[in-house]
Amino acid sequence: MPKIILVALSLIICSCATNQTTVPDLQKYFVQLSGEVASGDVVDRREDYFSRVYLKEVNIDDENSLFLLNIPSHVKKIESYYQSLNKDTGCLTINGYESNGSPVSIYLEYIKENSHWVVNYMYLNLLEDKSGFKGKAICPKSIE
Amino acid sequence: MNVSRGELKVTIAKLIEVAYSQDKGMTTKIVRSKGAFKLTLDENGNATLSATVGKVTFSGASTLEKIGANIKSVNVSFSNGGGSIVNYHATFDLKVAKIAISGNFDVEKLVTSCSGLLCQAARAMKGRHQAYEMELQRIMGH
Repeated sequence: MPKIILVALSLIICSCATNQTTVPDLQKYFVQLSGEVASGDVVDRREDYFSRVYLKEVNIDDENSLFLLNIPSHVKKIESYYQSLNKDTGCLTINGYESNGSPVSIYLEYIKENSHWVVNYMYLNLLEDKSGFKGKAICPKSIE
Repeated sequence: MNVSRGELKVTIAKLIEVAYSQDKGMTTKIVRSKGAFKLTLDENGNATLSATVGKVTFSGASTLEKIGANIKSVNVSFSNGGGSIVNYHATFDLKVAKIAISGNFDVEKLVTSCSGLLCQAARAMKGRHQAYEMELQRIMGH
């Protein structure tokens, strides 16, 4: 009898562990993406970081359209970041500086696609001064 | 590739310049109107500079091509910054991304640069005049 209880208990614990959802760290994904951009590998690995909708606008044979993959390179130094999450969408605000020290913010919309969090929309805000940094997660499509 | 602040700011100035070459009188009236005015450019390259005093329509496609980032449309809002200073906020739409930039410029300097010899020389060289590009960047607050 105690054996049955033990098995039942371990099954419950197992089931709880499988159902537990980990909170995605969107900032970590952004840093990984920035690394791919910096190393020049972003074109080959674009499907790991961008949604299908986003990649529809990217023609890898057209240098001009590659700008869409390189937007994260505008942030050379991150000062702060904020994220907000719903079930399958997330918003990330990155505040930082360009290589020349000019303040810049990127507001990203992430979506969960094939169980991966990928960028679905980006808003690059080239700021005049750092008073323009937002202290919360901005969902880029909500900006007028 | 990447797009610089300078390039974006110069693009706004160049669009105003194209409007100016299309209709000098109305463009000057709009930019000197001391009120808010707008500049829009759609996916087909149709551009409009408008204010309550009137509007100028022109083609901005070739100006946009020079940025080289497949920008689909542009929206710029201008407001009075006091005296001859005009503040602007621009968004460049790339369908799945947007770039926003703000700044200000002295409208008198811009108008003077566009009616002067420097501007004409630049146009004759199809906008490839380095000194002129630098001058526009400076005027647009870069």
